Amino acid sequence: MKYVPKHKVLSYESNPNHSIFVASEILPISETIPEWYKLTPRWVEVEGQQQPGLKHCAPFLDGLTLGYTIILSENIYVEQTPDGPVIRWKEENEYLPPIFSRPISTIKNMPIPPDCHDEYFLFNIRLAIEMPEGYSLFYTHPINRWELPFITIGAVVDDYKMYELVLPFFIRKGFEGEILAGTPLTQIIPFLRENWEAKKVKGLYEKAKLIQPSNTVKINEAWYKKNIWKRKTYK
Amino acid sequence: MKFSKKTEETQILRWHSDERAVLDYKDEIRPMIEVVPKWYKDIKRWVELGENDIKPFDKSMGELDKWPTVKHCLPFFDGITTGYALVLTENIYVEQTLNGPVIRWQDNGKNRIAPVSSRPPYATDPMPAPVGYAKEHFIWQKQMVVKPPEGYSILYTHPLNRFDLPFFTVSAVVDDYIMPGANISFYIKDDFEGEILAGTPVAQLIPYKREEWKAVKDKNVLIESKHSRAPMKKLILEGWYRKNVWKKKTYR
Repeated sequence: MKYVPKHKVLSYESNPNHSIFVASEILPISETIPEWYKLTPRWVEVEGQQQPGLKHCAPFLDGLTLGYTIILSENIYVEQTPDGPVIRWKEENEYLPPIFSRPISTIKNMPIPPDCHDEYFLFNIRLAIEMPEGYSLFYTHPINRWELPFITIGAVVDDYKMYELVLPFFIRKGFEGEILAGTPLTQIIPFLRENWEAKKVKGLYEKAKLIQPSNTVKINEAWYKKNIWKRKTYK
Repeated sequence: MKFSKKTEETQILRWHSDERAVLDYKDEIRPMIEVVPKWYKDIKRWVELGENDIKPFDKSMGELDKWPTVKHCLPFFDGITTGYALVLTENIYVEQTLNGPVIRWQDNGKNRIAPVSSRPPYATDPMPAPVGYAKEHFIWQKQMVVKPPEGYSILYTHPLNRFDLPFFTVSAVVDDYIMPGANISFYIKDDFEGEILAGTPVAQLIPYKREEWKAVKDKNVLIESKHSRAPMKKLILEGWYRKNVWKKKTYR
């Protein structure tokens, strides 16, 4: 009899010469929930009335905790100079710098994220990743994490044994200081590739309205959480 | 001769809008491929280097006097074309006032829910607003329903890498049910004033099958992947990724 695991496996291995790279660890992104989310109240007073806070929104938390992340494995330091931001790290390695930049002309015409320097940086991540056949990985800036002092560019990579990856990013204007080890650099969402078709179905909106409970039930009785929401597992 | 029919299954994303809400634009859901921005189309495949630019060098191809641009990067293209776009169905107008941005739309006389509403920013405190955007917390009030197949969820996110848009949409994941109406938060770019046109993508929808996942450290992956690695010359000059790895994605 053959054992078929219930879960899908994302295999990875860090370069053993770990110390020269500033990012080489994969974690479930649920392990990097930011402090500000934990501090949001469940109820807020709006114009004298108690209203549900952000913590009532299960889809928001699902966005924050969907998939995996690659974290910084050591502190890096950003300094602002007259020529733009300069990034420093612990150990110098000229042959394989863990962070490097490319001429901005290589992304000419591409809009830069607001309030970011137009210096085009890349994390050089020596991390081999293998996903099951038929799957792809969706990379994006950590969802709803705008407090981070950088913005990471998004992409989709298909199934192959990827030896290394470069992760383009932009630094916030005016940001100077340390970015700490453990900071999530990207959010990785594995997904099954399938053919899709969007179909306009007449009457669907009216049908949906019939099964939807009132706003009071939805909010006070956590209707979505109890009736719709499904647990997602990324270990 | 045997005729073999391709039997690959197609997943259906069912949707419909409240027709009172849709004004100028009939198809509120469109494949992302149909809203690829002009700036992407305008990017050249190669750029000449300036005098002070570092020249790309690799053992397999020597020193190049030009750089490959983001147009060489299929993962970038796949990012901006995966899934579906939820588009604005009418023009809206943003005005900057002393109290922050104000959004207006045409009153068509129909008894309908407004396309945009707002919430005081303290309703989500201490969640930070994106840097470069006003703190006012707006909501796309989409009067429509999207239904993925059972066992699927949808990631709603700001259109990937679309920093040119004058707003930023908050991301969330919604599980499988027929949800009548979607309230999606967004922020307006600092100092933006003007029209946002019908047809503009306000969110990227990526439907996906829910599955349990485990990330496992595997000691063979590094060495195996090293063997399958292509030299830079093949990667850049010969389209190695496209020919050997890339798979066509279909969102119709």
